[in-house]
Amino acid sequence: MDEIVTDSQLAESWTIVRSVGGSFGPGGFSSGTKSIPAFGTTTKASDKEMSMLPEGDQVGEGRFFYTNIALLTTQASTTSIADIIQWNGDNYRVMKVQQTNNRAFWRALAVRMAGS
Amino acid sequence: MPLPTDIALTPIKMQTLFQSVAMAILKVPIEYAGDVVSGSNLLAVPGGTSGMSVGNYVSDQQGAIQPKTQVTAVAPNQLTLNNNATANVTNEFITVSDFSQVRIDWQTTGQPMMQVTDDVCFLRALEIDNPYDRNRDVVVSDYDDDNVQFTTTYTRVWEIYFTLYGPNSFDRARILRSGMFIQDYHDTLAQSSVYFVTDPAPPRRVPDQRDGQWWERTDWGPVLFNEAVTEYRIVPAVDSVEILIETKRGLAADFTITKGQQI
Repeated sequence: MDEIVTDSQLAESWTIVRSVGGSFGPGGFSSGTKSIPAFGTTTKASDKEMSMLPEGDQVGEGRFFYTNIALLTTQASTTSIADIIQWNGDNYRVMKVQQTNNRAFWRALAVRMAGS
Repeated sequence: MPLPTDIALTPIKMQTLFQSVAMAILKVPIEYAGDVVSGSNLLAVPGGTSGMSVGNYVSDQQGAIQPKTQVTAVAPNQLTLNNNATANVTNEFITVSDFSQVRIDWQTTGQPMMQVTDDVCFLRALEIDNPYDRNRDVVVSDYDDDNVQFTTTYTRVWEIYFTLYGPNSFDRARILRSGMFIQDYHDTLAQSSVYFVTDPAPPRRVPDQRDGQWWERTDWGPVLFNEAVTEYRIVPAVDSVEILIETKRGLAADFTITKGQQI
């Protein structure tokens, strides 16, 4: 599967902005970021797939991103929040990740961060 | 005449204020005996670093540790800090604060989740409608030849919601509620012109079901607090006044009084 999601005929380059080194302080959580170049395919999420997200996240566009790099949602740790994918000039926040690492690829549903 | 800064809290400042008060009541900042050497970022903790983690804030009484210093690595008897110490300190009380134990709701880009076994308090502050908010007192508080300063004071009413998760959430809510009646915390809030309305309802235990398990949860709130708001306004002083005196027969006098003129 990883060969399909990174097929040069289908895939394109995008960037994963990963939260790193975060911590809780006065006023709340803050973290730094690092950019990870990624290569994979992307498809638009259907209305039915979007309906599974919280209502406030259904307003904008949702996309699936497929890649052979692990994509992360917000973790139960104190250091990081969900990945942001920069694709086609917009930021997309990773909301759900399908665990398919035994097939060497990741599939993530992300919503466009309007106004960011 | 310089315009004084208004005395009013934003929701972010209010939440940060209550974050520090809640942490103090829940005894989140913990004191340890520690040693630091000037110019070094290593903090020796002979008693052990159990309970400390990366990201915790560290301070000391003498100011040898710079403000906003955080832990970047934890070893059994030593912490690595992100700033170098500015003085030598031996066997001094070092305060380590884990802000992840009291978190603020509605962060713009979210915040990490906690484990089901972690005791974490979330809080949020909302301004509400209340009859006390209606009364405004406007006085002339200062003036000079060119300007007049008006000061408006009124009471703003806030609801603070505390949502506590974790196995000890119910007892921590009790401690939080009783803590608000303690004079020290009253004085801390009063420095920001915030005052506790002393008839809070008791906390309620409301466990959450999520991710295939029940999360122990206790809610305390809404808890009312009054905030004294002071706003300043400066307007130009009247430079001159034209006075018209009319009788039944028509205009009797028309003259202008200018600033500083004696009548």
